[in-house]
Amino acid sequence: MHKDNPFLVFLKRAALHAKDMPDHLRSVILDSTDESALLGHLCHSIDTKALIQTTTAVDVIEGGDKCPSMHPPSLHR
Amino acid sequence: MSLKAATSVRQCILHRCTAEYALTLPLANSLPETCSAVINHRLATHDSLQAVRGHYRRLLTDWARENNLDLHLFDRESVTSSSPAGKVTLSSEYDLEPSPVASEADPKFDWLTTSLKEVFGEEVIVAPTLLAGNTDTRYYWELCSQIYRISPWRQSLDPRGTRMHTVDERMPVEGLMEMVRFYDVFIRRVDAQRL
Repeated sequence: MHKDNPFLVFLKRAALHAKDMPDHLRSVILDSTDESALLGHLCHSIDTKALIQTTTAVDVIEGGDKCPSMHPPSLHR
Repeated sequence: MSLKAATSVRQCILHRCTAEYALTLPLANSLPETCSAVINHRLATHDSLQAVRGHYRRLLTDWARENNLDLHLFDRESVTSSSPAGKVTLSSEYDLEPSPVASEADPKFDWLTTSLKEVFGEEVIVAPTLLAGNTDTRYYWELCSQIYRISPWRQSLDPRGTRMHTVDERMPVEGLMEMVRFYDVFIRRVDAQRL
């Protein structure tokens, strides 16, 4: 996780102050020696993953010109 | 966290790619077929437009050769075949690099923190986070070095959410009033700094 990402500041502050955070998660966030454990947690949820990785969303798909035409088989791959 | 009033110090950036795939196979009973997709990327803080374009190049170059397709990547590079079975064109619009990072250590961030505590209560914890996917702050990049994005109202007021940018977008009246109170306090604080 990139050090410049302010989401890291948010997580650390939450770990210091939040009353309802599970102890395990709290220690994973505050333990700066094992970043992979924290990344593992963050990648479980699509919402938090989007804050540490570039997202990809296929928003619009269009295809075909008219009904009776055959789709070439390569389109079905 | 009792309040989701965290300010966003950094944004991810929208980058839209359009991939068009055109086939001109000489099949009887078949018209030339085309298809296209619009792909929306929000770039992570450490990424770049070049990195995203590179990703598509790695993904598609060999595939285009194997399938005897012409490949045109963002008007810059292309792979061509002598008698292509079709053409794949990638273009992009709304290109925007990730924005500069604002600092929570800057004194101006304290103006936000003290205003938030004044409106929402001294017990409130203020923390920066990342706002993914906004586009308009690019117009401020040349104007100031510290750009904070903030929605000063409590999400807990309406557990259904705001349905932002879609049908039935909503804002609880109490949330609207909180924002008015916040901006009143904040603008007065900034004005006092100028005096």
